[in-house]
Amino acid sequence: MRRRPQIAALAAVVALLMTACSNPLPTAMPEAEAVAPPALSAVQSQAVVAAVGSVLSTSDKALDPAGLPARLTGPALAMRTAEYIRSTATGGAKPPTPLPANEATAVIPQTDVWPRTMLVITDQPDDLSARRVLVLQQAAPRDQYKLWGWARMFPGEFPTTAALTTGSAVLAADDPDLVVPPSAILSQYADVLANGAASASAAKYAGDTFRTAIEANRTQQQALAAEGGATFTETYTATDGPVVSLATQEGGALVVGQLSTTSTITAAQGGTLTNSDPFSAALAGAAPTTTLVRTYTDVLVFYVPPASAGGQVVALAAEQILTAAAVS
Amino acid sequence: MLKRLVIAVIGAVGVLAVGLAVASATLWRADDVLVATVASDQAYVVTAPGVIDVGGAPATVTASTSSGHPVVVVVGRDTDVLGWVGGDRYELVTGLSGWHTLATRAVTATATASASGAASPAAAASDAPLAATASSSAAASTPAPVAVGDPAGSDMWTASDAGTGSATLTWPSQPGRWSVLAASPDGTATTLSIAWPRTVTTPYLWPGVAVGGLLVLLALGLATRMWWTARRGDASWTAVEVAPAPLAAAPVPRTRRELREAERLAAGSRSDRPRTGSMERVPPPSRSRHDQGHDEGPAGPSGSVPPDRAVDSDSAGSRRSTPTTGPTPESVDASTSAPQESEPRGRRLLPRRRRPGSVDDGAPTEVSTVAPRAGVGPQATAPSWVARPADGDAAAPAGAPAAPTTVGRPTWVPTRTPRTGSAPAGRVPGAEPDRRADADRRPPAVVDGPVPQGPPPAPQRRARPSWLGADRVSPPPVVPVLPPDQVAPASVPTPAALPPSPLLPPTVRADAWRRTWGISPADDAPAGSAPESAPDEPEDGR
Repeated sequence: MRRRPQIAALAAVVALLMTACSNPLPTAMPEAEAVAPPALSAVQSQAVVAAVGSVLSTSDKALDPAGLPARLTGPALAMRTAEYIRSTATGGAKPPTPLPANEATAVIPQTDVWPRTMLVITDQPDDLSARRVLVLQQAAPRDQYKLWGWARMFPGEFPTTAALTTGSAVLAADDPDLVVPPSAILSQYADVLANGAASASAAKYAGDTFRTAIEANRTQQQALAAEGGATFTETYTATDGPVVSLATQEGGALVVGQLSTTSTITAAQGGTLTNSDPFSAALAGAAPTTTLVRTYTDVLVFYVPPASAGGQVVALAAEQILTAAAVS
Repeated sequence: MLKRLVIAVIGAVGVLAVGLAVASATLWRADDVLVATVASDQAYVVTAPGVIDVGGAPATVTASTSSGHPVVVVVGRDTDVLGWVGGDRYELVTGLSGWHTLATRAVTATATASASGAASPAAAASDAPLAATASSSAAASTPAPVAVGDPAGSDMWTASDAGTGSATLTWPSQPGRWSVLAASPDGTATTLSIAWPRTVTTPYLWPGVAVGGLLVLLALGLATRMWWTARRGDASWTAVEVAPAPLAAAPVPRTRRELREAERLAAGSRSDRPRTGSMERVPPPSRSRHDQGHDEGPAGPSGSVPPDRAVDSDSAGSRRSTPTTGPTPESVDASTSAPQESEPRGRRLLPRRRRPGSVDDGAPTEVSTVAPRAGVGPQATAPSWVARPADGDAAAPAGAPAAPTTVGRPTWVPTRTPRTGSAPAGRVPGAEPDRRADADRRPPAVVDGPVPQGPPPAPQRRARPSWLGADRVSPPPVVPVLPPDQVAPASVPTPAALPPSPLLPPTVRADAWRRTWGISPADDAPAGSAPESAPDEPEDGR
C-alpha cells in the first residue's frame, strides 16, 4: 500500500517531464537590415518589364494610346502617344519605336520609399538598332511600375553597377561626391547644348552622339530657314530635376533626366511656312502659317564620375521624340 | 509477501514506463502542424517582420473572410506592405500569444501621422513600428487616407494569392524582413491563420520503452525465480541436508578410523566413496518422511529407517540404488523377500527391505552375481547383527535416530552402524567371531573390505527365485551366527533395527564391489526402477 503514493508521484513526475519540456513560445526575430533591400528582385523586375511590354504590344497594334497609362507615365506616355499619332499620320511609314520587353540587365534601387525608379537595359531590338534603356518608376506604393521613359544607348561602355540582389544605392540630388551634382546636370547640359563650347559648363561634359546630332540638326535647320528668310531657334530646358540618381560600382552615378527641346520656325515677315511634315500637322491639328513651334521631349541618361576620380559627365543614352506642335 | 509486492511494483512501474513512453509518442505527441490564427475586424491584417518565420518554414498562410467576399493574401517586404497599407487602419500581428493564437495590435491611421516628414514628395507612409528600420529619408504620409484597396497584382509582392472566401499561399523562408498582408478589398473583416510544419520528436519513446521493458523483464524474471524456488523448495532442502560429512564424522569417533585404515589397507579409498553415496541418499526423502519418522522415530530405529527409504525413492533413488545396489539390495532382497512372504509380520520392515529388493529387481544381474550370497548370508545375519548390536547399543541407535530426524545425519549414524554391521554380516560367515565381539563397530569395517570380494562367488550360485526360498535355507549357513540374532529379529523391534542397517551397508558394499569389478555407473539405470517400487512399499509399510 505504500507504493501507491510513490507510483502516483512517479507518474506525476513523468507527466511533468512530458509537458514541462515543451518549448516556450517562439518570438519573431526579424533580421536587422543596415541597408534597404532592392526594391524589386530580378524576377520581379523582369515581370514588370514583361507587363510593360504586354501593354505596349497591345497598344502598338491598335496604335491606341488609351491603354498606355496602365504601364506608361511621364515622358514615355507622351512620347508613345505621339508616336502613335506619327505612325497614323504617316500611314505606318514611321512606326513606333521598338521597345524590347526583354531585360538584359537592370539597375535596381535600394529603397523603401517612393517613388522608386529603376533602369532596365533591354536586349538589342530586332531591327538591330541600339539597345534601349527603360526607365521604370513606381510613383506610390499602390501604383505599379510604369515606363517613365526610354533612351537609345550610345556606343560605348555602360558603367558597372551593383548586382541585382544587392541593389544600387539611391543618391541624393545634391550628392557632393560627384563631379557634378545630379540636380545641376540637366540644366548645365542644356546650356552646353545651346551654347556649345561657349557654355561655362562645356568642359564638364564630354561630347556625345545626341549632342552632336542636336547641333547638326540645328545648324541644318538654321541654314534652311535662312534660305527662306525664316528664322530657326531652338531652346533646351531641363524638366524638373533628375528623376533618379543611382550609384555605380566606381562611386559614380547614373543620372536620368528629361529635357524639353523647343524649336521654333518663324516665317519671314509677309511670308508663310510650308510644312511637308504630316506628323507636325497632325500634332498641331492645323497647317502652320507663320510660326511652327515643335516641342520635343528628351530623355537622357548620364554617367557622372565621382569627384575623387574626376572626369567628364557623359551622356550614355538619349531619346528625343516630338511630342507637341503648335502653329500659328 | 514483501518480495511479491516488490516484484509486482517493479513490473507495474515497467508497464507504466512503457505506457507513458508510448503515450508520449502518440497521445501526447505534438501536432505536426502548428496553426496560429487571428480573427480581426479589420480589412487589413499585417504581420510584423519575422512573424511568418516564427514557427519554421515553409509557412502556409491563409486569409479568409466570410464566404462570398474577395480576399487577398500577399507576402512582401515589410516596408512595401506597410507602404501599401499606408494610412489605413489595420491589425498588426506582433507574434504568438499562444500556441494557436496570434498576438495582435490595432494600428490606426493616426499613428502614421507622427512619422517624421521629409521633403520628398513620396506618398508612402512609414508606420510607427517600422520607423526604426525605415531609412533616413522617411517619406511624409499622404494626408488623405486611402480607400480600401486591392493589393493583388502589385509588382512588389513576392508571393500572393487571391480568392473568394479564402486565399492561401506557401512561404518558404527567405532572408529579409517579410510581412504578410491579408486584405479584403471590400472591407470585410479578415481572418489570418499561419500554419508551420513542426519537427515533432519523441525523445521519450524508446528510452521509456527500453527501461520499462527491462523492468518488466526483471519483474518476470524475479517472479519466475520465486516460483521455481517455491516449487523446488523440497529438492533444494533435501540437497542441503545431504551432509555427507556428518556420516563420516559420526563413524570416525568410533570405529571409522580403524575401519578406514583397514579399508585403505585392503581396498584403498573404497570405503570413502560408498559412504558419501549413502549420505546422498538420505537427505532427499528425509523431509516428509523425516517428519513422520520423527514421530515414530523417537520410538525406535524403525522411525529412522523410513527416512532412508524416502531418500532412496525420491531424488537420489537412482544414485543410491546404483551405488548401494550390489550388496545392499541383495541383503534387502533376502530380508524383503522374506518379509513379502510374510508381509503380515511387519510392513515397516517390508518397505525398507523392499527398496533394496526393488533395486535388486532393477539390477538383478548385479545382485544375482555378486550380492546375492553376501546379501543372503549377510542379510540374514546382518539383521541379526544389527538387532543384537542395537540391543546392545540400543541406546546409541535410539539416540542416533532422533538426531537424524532433525538433521538427517542421526538417522545415518544409526544406519551406519548397522551397515557396518550388515557389511560384516555378509562376511560374517568368515568373521563371525569378530563381529560378535565388536558387534556394531569394528566388525563391520573389517567386513566391508572383504564383503565385496566374498560375495561374487555366491551370486553365481543362486538366482533370486532361489533366494526367496533360499532365505530360509540361507539362514542355515549363517545360522550359526544368526540363531541368536534371529531370535531377536523375530520380535517386532528387531526387524526395525535390522532394516536400517542392511540398507546402508549395501551401498558401501555396492560401490566397493562395483569398483573392484569395474562396473560402470551406467548399471545404475536398472536401479531407477528401485526407487519407484520403494516409495510404494514404504507407503504400504506405513
